[in-house]
Amino acid sequence: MIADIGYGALLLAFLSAGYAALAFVLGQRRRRPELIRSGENGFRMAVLWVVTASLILLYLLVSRDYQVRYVFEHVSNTLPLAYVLSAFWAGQEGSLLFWLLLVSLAGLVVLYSQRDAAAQPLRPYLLATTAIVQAFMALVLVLPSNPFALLASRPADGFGLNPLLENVGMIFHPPTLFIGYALYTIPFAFVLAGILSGQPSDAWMARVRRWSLMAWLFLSIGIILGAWWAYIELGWGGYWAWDPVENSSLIPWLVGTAALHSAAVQSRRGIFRTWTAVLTILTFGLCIFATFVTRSGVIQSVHAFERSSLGWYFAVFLVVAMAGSLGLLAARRRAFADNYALESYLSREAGFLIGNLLLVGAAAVVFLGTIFPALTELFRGQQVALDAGFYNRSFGPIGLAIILLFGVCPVLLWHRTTPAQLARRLIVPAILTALIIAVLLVTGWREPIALVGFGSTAFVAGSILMEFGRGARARMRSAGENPLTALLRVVGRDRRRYGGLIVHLGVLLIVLGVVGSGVYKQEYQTVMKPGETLDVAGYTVQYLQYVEQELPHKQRFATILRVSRPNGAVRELVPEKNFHWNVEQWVSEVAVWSRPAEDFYVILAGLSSDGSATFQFLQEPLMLWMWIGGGVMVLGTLLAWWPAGERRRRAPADTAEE
Amino acid sequence: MQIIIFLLMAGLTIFMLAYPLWQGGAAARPAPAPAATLSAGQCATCGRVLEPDERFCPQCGTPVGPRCPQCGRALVGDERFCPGCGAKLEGTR
Repeated sequence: MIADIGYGALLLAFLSAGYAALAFVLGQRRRRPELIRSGENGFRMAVLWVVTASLILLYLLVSRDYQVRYVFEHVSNTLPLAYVLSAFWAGQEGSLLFWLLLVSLAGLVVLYSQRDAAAQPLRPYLLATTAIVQAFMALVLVLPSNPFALLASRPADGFGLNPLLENVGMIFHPPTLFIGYALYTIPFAFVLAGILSGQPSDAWMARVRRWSLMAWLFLSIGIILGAWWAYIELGWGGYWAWDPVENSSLIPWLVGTAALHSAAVQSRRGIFRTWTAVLTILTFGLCIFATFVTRSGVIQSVHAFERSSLGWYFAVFLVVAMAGSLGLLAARRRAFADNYALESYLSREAGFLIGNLLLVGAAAVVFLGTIFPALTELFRGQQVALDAGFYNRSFGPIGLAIILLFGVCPVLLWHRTTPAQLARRLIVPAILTALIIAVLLVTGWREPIALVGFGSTAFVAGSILMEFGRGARARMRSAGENPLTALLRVVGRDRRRYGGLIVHLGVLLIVLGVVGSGVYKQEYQTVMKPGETLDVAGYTVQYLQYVEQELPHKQRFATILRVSRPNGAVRELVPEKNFHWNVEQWVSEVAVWSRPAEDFYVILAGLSSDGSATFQFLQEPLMLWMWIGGGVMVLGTLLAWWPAGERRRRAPADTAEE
Repeated sequence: MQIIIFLLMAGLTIFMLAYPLWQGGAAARPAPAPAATLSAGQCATCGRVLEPDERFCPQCGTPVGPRCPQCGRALVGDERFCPGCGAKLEGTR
């Protein structure tokens, strides 16, 4: 049975990775190069066996070998091939193997890329840390979470995927999140290697930057795709529910964001070294914590993986990894001492520091909110979950402060800024904000939260766009270039800074969507018979017909609506409510008409046998900008990550960024 | 069948781990020892291993000081017993 070979490969991966970690550390301590070479081979073998095990699992899924329990639970005869492949990471065992595969491949890139002379002292520890993480994941797969476990007999058909997971979002959301989690292993390994090898932190922090940025990018995409999946698939018109599993992906993102900014200041000014190292270690720990929350079932969640002992493996690993690495950092803290103290609280580095504190504060709020049910269970014997109101009240103001800082920070100067300089640079954005608020008041957008939200967005957007303008104008004057060339050149020459500013613009677009759909969401519910026409929220809805269909894996009930706008635009929307045989549950498929101004979101809430249907219509202003903002964030991050600009110019003053 | 495949996989792994150790040990042996780690039985100039009774290095001609005939340890000249191995020295001078 080929599944046994898969299990054997996992076992060998565990042993090879464990051996490699030991060989690297001993080889470096005792100065035995042949031991380090042996460790490298161990590392290569571990990667080989992980890849082998992954290919075997994929083969078992595609060949629908239902004797393997994992295949039986996640695949069925009627499941389309794309979802059969995505079943690799749809379940617990498979997703852990997928994570291990990602850590292994990232480690392989480190093995072949960090080979220059300056990397030599770091290399053994770097690979050892990665190998330890690999060995841990492989141990979990060998013991409590074996993807190759067999059933006693071979069923004719599998259970299949949870219908909620049959969505394009499911193909991409979990893997991107896992890639983010897995890639954060490498920055963590760099910090540990830096501490253990005693190398000055500025030297290796520069190497970490692009790894952290890539990990952060995938985490961001994963979170945005998760929100999109919730919006499109779950059928309640929202995108974020402050569910523990969602929160647990947001926490490392917030701390990872702080780490990126702290590292930026370190590379520019040689301060915040300890702070950067601590944040990098914590980000990795919080990625493990996310897995703990998801897999342990300690906190009840809509994502509801089964409650298993697996979580405790992660808890022990988390405690050991965090206590060990933070302890080492404390013992070697002198190597991380800063060259300077902060000169002025009105300076760009102070702005970064305040932003970092706010990000970590926001992460702490979400963290406490997430573990609150577990704490109440501990002290009062029963889980008490916090509602969205708690998060909106506490996270909202911190978020607003961070957004405002987006506007102030780029115009602050390094070292120190005088109040007069600051005022001169902020006067235009301030006037712009006043104008926008005046326009909003006149046109009837008078909700205080909306005024604050849109006003601060305008202020920050004005400030950031002026930054672009200032840079371009300087080039136009000095080099005599036309405005477009000047803008492209100024961005191209300092990709880290302008990439960062573009990410901030993307966040602003997301804020537009959050505020617009949060404050001005309208909801209507009505019963219609086929053939009826109704005017709702500026749309004319005609209920054309009702379709019932028996499909192999579900009973489909679809209603076909013709929706038109006063300006003549027409769209056919088909909200459905289907009964899925495998889970014996009703699952809604919503229909959405997205326009820049607003989304028109239709849910088929109920259906009687004569075809009369209960519809829920949601009007969600500016929702589309959330997804566009996500795209802008991705583009900005790629711009900041792209290596060519750095290779061309290596001047030390070239490392400014946001 | 799966047992055989697994054993082959394990064998490959062990070979890959052991190969650098075996090769590394072999490669380390022929390297000439640098001056800092010369033992008493070697010429101080060229590192040639000397016979206990050689007064001059047969390779480079460097004079060799008195040494213990038993263990090769270099001597100041007035020892009665070798401080390295305890051999009685009078008879040799």
